[in-house]
Amino acid sequence: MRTISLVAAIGLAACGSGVHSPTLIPKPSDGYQALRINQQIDFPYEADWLPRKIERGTVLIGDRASGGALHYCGLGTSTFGPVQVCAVKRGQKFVFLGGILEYELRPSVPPGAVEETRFQ
Amino acid sequence: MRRTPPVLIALVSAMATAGCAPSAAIPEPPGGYPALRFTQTVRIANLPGNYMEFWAGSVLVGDRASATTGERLYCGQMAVRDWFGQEIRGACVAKRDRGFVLVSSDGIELLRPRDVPADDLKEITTARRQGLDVSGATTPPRE
Repeated sequence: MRTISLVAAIGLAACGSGVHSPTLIPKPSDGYQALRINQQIDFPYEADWLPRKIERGTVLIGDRASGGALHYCGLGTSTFGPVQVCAVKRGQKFVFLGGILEYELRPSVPPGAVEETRFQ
Repeated sequence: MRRTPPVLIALVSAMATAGCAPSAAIPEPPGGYPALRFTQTVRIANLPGNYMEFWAGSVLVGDRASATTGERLYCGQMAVRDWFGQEIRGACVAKRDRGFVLVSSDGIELLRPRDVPADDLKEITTARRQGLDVSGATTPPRE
């Protein structure tokens, strides 16, 4: 019975993660859309495994999509060390997401901290 | 809230990182280390929802040599995603004719060689690993 439960749990987890697994997109001739972080962005603490900050100079590259939305991803820092962090555009704002379940982070983003650019 | 990754990914990545220990450091040449820079993300998938990923902009620095074969190894970071989460882990690769192969520092191939278009994996020269910008954002490596 325990084996069946374990297999079912793994199956459900796999199915769930598949929904959120971003698909890589081909690189456009003029490069990927990208976001340059011009000022460190700090995220409120939610969990050890979620990003705590993105350092200045980081580039989040829009090389993947999920649910029809372009995901700009790069490296952030969690309590444990480097971790992937992504952003998606909603309206005129960028929303930051952490973890494979794309938990929405709620940082205070200083004006000009996020600049749209291209990545070759 | 740590995750237990599937056996295959855990085994391969553990071999890739743990195996780096016996490698010999190469002194930095005057012009900097040779390095590999991904201009397009390369994803190595195995089970559904599970993959390893060298992301666009990441740089692997050729600052060590295999202790057994002497082959130059390019080491840096990769993302490992499984059903339960995603982590950034150390990784080493060796160059191959049409791409690269994930290796331990002994030069042991951990997976099949991966073909990559030349434009997606550029050979560059870069300064030392410490402080290296793996996103490709600041202090662009010299190409």
